Amino acid sequence: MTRPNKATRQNTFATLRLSGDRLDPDRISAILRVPPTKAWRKGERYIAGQRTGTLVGRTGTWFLATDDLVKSPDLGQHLDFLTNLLSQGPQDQSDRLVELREVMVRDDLKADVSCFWHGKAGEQPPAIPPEKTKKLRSLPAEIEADFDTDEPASQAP
Amino acid sequence: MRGAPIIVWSNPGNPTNEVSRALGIQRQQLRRALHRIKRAQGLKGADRVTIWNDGSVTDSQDNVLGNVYDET
Repeated sequence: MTRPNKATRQNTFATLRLSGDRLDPDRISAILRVPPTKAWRKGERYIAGQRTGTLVGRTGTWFLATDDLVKSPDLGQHLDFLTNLLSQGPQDQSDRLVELREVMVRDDLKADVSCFWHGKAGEQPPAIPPEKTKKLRSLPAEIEADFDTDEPASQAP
Repeated sequence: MRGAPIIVWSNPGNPTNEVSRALGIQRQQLRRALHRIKRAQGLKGADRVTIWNDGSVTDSQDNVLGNVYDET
């Protein structure tokens, strides 16, 4: 299961990845109510891309990259999208966060969130809002930042 | 006739300008593509991967993880 990559050249986005040998991608999509960017079961053959071709899932994976969905240069908005996925749904629906935690425990799944940012040389990287970190860690999810800038132009002698 | 793929990067961390130039894309595009490929496969930024001049990305066991051009 792979969503076509329609992402523009955004300089920031976030990813959410759930993984584990017993992961059922359809179950995760049903809880979060969003299709993944890429997902596969352990041992499943999936199309990873036109150039990549077919790969076999070494473990079950449900992967969402926000640059396919959020068109903003603000990392906070990308993290908002992820935390909103975990927020309380309508009153007649169960809390997605609780439901996802239950599945994570039952199926021994792991969650990771990564934040990507690429700036111009000398530009300061964005801050990751503490309330977003707290919410995502409560999943629990590990959070990683991948921030870097252009390399400075080489000086002429 | 195309020759065998050549390694353009085989280190942990983010590739340099020379690598993106070798692939004919901007460094930001390369970083973004590599981020998506590595995170989808459960690797972190510090994990070492090999990038080939055909855009393929492999891990330390030569498993194919993806292709940079699929993500740009």
